[in-house]
Amino acid sequence: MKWLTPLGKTIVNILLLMFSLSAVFPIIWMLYSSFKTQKEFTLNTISLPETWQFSNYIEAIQVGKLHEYFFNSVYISLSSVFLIILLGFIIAYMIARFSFPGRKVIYILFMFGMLIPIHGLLVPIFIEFKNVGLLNKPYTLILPYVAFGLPIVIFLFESFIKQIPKEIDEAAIMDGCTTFQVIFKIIFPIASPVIATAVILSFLTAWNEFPFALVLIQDEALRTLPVGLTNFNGQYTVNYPQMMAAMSITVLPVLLIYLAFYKKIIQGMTAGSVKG
Amino acid sequence: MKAFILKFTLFVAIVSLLTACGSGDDNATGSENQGGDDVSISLMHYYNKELGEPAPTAQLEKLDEFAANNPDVTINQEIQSHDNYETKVKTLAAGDELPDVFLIKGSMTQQFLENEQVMNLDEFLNENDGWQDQFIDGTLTPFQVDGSAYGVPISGGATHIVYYNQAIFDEVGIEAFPATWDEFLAAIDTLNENDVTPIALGNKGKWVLNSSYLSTLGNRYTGDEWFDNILANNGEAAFTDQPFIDALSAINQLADRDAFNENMNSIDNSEQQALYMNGKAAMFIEGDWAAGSISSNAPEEVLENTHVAIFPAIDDAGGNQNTVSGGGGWAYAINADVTGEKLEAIKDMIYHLTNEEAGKLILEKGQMPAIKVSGTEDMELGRLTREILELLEDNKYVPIYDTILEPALIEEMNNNMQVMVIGQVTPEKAAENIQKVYSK
Repeated sequence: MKWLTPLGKTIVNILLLMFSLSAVFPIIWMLYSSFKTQKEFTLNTISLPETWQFSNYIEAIQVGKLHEYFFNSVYISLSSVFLIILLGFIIAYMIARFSFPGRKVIYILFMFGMLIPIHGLLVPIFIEFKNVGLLNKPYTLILPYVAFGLPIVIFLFESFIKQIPKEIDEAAIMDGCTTFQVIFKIIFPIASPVIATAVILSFLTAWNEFPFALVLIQDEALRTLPVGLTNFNGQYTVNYPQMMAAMSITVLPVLLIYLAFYKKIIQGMTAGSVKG
Repeated sequence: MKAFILKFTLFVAIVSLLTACGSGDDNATGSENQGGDDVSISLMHYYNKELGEPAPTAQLEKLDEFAANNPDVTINQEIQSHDNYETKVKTLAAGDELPDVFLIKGSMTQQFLENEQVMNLDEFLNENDGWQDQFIDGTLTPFQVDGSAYGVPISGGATHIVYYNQAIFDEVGIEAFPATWDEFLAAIDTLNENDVTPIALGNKGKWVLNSSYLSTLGNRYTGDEWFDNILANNGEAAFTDQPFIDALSAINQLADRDAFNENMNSIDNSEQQALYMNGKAAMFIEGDWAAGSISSNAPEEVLENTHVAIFPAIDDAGGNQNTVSGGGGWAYAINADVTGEKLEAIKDMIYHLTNEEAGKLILEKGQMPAIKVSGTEDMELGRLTREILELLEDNKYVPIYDTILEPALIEEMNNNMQVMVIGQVTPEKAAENIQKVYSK
């Protein structure tokens, strides 16, 4: 940045400041709007609240049944992420390191998964789940989430593992590692940046997922947060402040996960994207 | 590759085996509930107690009442939010997993009937003395196919009501709501001269212009028969007919005179209400449901000056002029597979939810019921609700286009009107585009 004049620096900084404000403002707006009354919000969407309505949060939890759905969402998202990472890593390792007949076919089949729009599969999967009797179970949602989460994760892992020198594996085996130990004691730690990316990606998808959660679950006790958030939409009215309060509660875990992993993500983003 | 094909075949075989087992299970559960005194009914709806919307709250109260009066009947409710309900009911229909009782929209009737998933309700509607005749004209129509009814409507309000602020009218020198279309246009010019937005429009959701403008204007120009012909698809009516083009032109005329706010395509219907409530616009046009949110959210000085009207009579239009688009929004439908004792219990329940008593409760909460209610003079109603009720007494319901026509056609109409009001297509061209989709 030495080549910039002080004036140039100021301009760059102002531009960057405006950019980050535009990214941060929606969250700030959501936070303070969640304390307004419905009337205040309707009359002026941007103004600060006149009196702080903490009761919005209590009502939001009651209307959206957030206390029930929060647990479901956490349980389903975490189980999905665990399975996606575990399965994805083993599969990617096998595809990247071993050559066997049908290796390419398997890889391409997984990649095809990224091409299919979820909405196109909604009804077929509903009918299939109904026939097999998988609807409305505590584990119902984990199955499609893992299936749809695997392709991108395998893609990331496979290209990352390929970059790790084979000699590391060989050295480990010489020292007496089993294949299992090579995967989880040697390669897994080396791949931690890309794993952080994969964790975030798959957690976000599972946490936000809506169509399957709506269609495959009938039992109210098994619903997840995104479906609960729509409880604030009536036929003709939307209670925005309550909805904002509910959303503030909902984004909290996402922010926490992001803060916990963000250093690694930035490494992982560049690591996974470029091949060779 | 050979090994792969072998494995794949094996996989398919296993899946179909599982499928066979699954459907076997289903039949076993389906034969329950025969004999025995206790009946359990599954019901899916979108009523949310906490939101306090008029008709849903009334229905929930009536449901509780029915459950209390009939201890031997268990009602298993699956509650979805309104937006999700439609997706859900369509998916359940595709999987043939519909509950015993569910809500349908007019536009769903035809398809559900073709799939044999809804029951013919003609007999049921005649079982209780004169019940069928108690429904307000036009509220049953969306749920009828070939003269037979497949749904019992709940609320039946108008989708076209002009809410106007008398105080703003007074300020600019308009004494009363215009009585003719020409006066209406003149009033718009006057308001523009005084820098007030004449009509707040939020058409981001695209349905406002269709439900609240075109359905009424269309009937004013085309008359009733034209729409019947369109529905019958008998080749005697087309969207390129001059009267329909005139109806589109009437909306275009409003846009040309700058009757709307400039950002009409980027704000939604709740934001059009906000413009009005802030006193920045003299009118907005929406259904009777908007009265509720005006009553609870508008500042005092706007609320007390708010009155309601409908589009004034149009001189050179060929249809009836005392018409308002309206009728049933949602209706109860019964699963075609239900029989015996359960069916009787369901009929009792639906009657309890939609008879005159239930209609009274809906009206008291502030929405227009689908059934005629007598003795409204003695009821305690909100001021706007009463004004709307009186307004509707003199006017006849005509079909709401977008609750009856096919989704693809509605989509085309909505898209064309959205670009028409910003001057990108002419009414003639828009009519042509709509006709193209219709004649497919």
